[in-house]
Amino acid sequence: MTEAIGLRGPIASGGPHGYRSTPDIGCVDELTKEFIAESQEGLDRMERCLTELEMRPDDTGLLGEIFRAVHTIKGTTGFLGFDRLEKLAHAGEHLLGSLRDGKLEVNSDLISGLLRLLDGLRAILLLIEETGSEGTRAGDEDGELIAELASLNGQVPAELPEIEAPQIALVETTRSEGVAPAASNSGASPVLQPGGLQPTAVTEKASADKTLRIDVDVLNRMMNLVGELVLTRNQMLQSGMEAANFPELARRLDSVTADLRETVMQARMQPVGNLFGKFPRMVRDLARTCGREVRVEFSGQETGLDKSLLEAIKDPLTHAVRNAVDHGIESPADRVLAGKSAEGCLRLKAFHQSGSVVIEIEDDGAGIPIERVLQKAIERNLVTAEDAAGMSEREALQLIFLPGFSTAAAVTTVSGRGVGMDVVRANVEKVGGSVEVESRRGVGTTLRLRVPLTLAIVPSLVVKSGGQAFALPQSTLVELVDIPEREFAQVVQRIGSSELYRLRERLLPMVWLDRLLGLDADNPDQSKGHYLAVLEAEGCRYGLVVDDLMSPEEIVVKPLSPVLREIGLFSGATVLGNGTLALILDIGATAARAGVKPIEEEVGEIGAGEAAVQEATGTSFLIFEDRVRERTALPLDVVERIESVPLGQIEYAGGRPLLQYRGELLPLRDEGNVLMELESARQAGEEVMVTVLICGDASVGGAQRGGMVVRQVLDVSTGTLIDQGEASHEMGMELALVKEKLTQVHREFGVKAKAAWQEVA
Amino acid sequence: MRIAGREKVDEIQDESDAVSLCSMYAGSEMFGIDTRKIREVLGERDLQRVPMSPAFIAGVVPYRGEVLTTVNLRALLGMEAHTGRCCVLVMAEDEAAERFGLVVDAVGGVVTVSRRMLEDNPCTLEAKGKWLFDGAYKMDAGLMVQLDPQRLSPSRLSEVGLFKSSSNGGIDASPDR
Repeated sequence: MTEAIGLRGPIASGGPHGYRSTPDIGCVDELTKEFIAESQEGLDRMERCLTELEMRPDDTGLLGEIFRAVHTIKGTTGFLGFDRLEKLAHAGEHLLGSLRDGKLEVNSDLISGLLRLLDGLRAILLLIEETGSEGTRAGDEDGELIAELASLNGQVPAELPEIEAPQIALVETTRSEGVAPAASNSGASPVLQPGGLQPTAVTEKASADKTLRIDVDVLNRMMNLVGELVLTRNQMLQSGMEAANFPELARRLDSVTADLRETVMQARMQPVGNLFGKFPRMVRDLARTCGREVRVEFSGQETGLDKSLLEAIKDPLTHAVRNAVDHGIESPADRVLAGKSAEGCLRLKAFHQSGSVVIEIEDDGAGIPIERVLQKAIERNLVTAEDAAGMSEREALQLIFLPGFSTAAAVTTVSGRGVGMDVVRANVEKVGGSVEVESRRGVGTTLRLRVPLTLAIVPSLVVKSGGQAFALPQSTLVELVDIPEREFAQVVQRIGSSELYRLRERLLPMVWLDRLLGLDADNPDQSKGHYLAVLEAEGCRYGLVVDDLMSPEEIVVKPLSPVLREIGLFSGATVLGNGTLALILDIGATAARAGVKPIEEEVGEIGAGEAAVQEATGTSFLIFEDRVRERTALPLDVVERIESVPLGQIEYAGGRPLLQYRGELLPLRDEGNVLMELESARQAGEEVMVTVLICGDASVGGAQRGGMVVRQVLDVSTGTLIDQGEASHEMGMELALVKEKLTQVHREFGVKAKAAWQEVA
Repeated sequence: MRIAGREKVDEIQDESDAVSLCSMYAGSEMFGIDTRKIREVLGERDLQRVPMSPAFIAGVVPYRGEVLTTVNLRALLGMEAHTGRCCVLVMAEDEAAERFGLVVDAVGGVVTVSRRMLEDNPCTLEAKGKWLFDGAYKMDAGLMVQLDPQRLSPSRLSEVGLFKSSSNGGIDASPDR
């Protein structure tokens, strides 16, 4: 375990141990601040242990930990002079002492009392943090609580024994960090690994936003990298732009920057366990209010997530947990009737999955009653009865995310006010995440929140419209369509004034970015046509028409001033590689501004419609030209990528063209002798690019991959194979009707693929 | 560029009476802003326009790792857009206040003037002028109108609502559906 230090505000130049000397502008001195942070951590740990203790009353390790937390506070307050805090902590410690000595039994009243003690201690700590003093010294306010603790201990308040010497406490403070969690961990069932294991626990409330505990190793690495950055800069300044080693210096600068960025990101990463830590208590309180028995299990608390994101998903997660306890898990009686154990189980899981963090909230409750969902949705006019009848289970489940939806029969203090899952979804989507729900009747419900690792740096595509650059977050981008000017009139269809693009037999509303933003249209000679970026956000799917695509870039998001935020279309701005600024488009807001409505229910219908069309008419083909004037096609699922390769990169072995592609040697097929023609152009001194289709068979894992040299790629369309019997098989070709034109179909990549196509045929 | 009022310096006897202003131009008019309220003169910069923004917003510029919103003085005065490149000044009262840029045609120099030469706004001034101007100094070359950066900050301007409707050569602010 590494040593952790507290960082308050920006990193002080005096180094990790220089904080004592830094002047403090607040009313609380450094020593007290440290005490508060430490105590809050101790209390967080105590909170977790308390809820656990209720489940395993005999665990002395847990009891020891709780005792230490309170004892440490008491000891430290003694010499800091916070009498009120000391008195309360002393009362608590006394009670815990009796508990530890086995004089008392753990019961739920006792746990509640101790939790109230915890709240009392927290309140005083907060007061100290805000005002620098603990308020009234008389201790009247705590009198009631102290009396309660004493009565739990079976005593009259006056009989409190003398306060122990506080000095011992400090020794224990340093120890409890490392030793105690291990103790509480050993012999403990897999239930609830205390999040207190991590030295990087976030302190509660106000201080949580401003301070961050980070690993000294990370800090050292950061400092080393900054040192290297300075050295590289010095070298660059000395050698100048013309120097021979300038490219090398630029490369080093690049790698140092990348490393530094990664390290800073790492420092911002906080274990999800910090967030999970507050749930056992919450669930306990909730379960008592709702009359449920709930056990909480965690896994993957060590999964790191950016601090700002952690804050952002706090509320949605809290909401989801509440929902699970109130709606998900049934009352003990019902559970027993259903043949389940009386105690419900709530599982919180966090793990990494393809560049994002997934947090699952799983309960083993009754599941979401689909017919109730549909009934409610119809009642509230969210869907029509006909629509509802045709809905699949999965589609119906999506209804719970609609605004104003709640299935709770009665409005309770906990939930059922109709502001529920839509808020959860909105909040998660705001940070670029998504929410899914799965439910099985009688078995349970799983809610899955998927959030990106970090917010600060967003991969995005830079596009141009009306002569201005805009950034589109990659997470919202579904696909890109190139619409050449000459084809524009054909592919764009109109209903009234609105334009639609027919994308694989689905009508996509088109939104012109330049018109929407009131930009001057680009130069009148729009000979090169437009690009359609198919975007999806907040359930809306639309095609954004832009003039040009620029590079995909990892952009650093900078906030906009309030006046510009008010416009509501831009989520920020960024400085591009060429030094200019680009505005980051808020995809959801743009959809709303353009009048694109979420197509929640329709998605399924259209999807089904599309499938029906496919069944009827055949498969999707990529149509291209290899021999002059001949249309040839490949089934779309065989084509992995379309690459544009400089002719010089194509090599020959034994008269056969080969291409080195991602560490693999691909044989190239050149039916139309394109290479030969291009070769002559190259010898004339031109730089020639060759279009190569990288083909593989998805069903055999791309084992037999190859390239196909083509003159140009024409289209993607569906078509029907024409069965011609044996004759065509000998040719290695089949004919198909695609868009009512005769097209040859290759079928030579992989034996399995061949079989599959014949099935289609 | 001639620094107006330099010869007046000698006349200012009382230290506390002297104010140093940075002079700037929008069209043919001269304006002055207290130098203490100016953080930096950025000089000529390329501005990135922000579509759908209020007309008085000139655009955004990168400034020390931030995105700085700039206010167009010409648009505030209801003048035609400037044809040449514009000069950007960075304004900030103190650390806490909102930072923003002011776009003018050109920046003159630092002028030291006496407070006694300040004359209040004329009572005939229309509402916009009353909001924008903070009196004028009588200089040899004419009047130098004093501006108060606090009142020029984008958030204040949008709160006032005086400048919402003005769209002069800028981008159409009405939503285009």
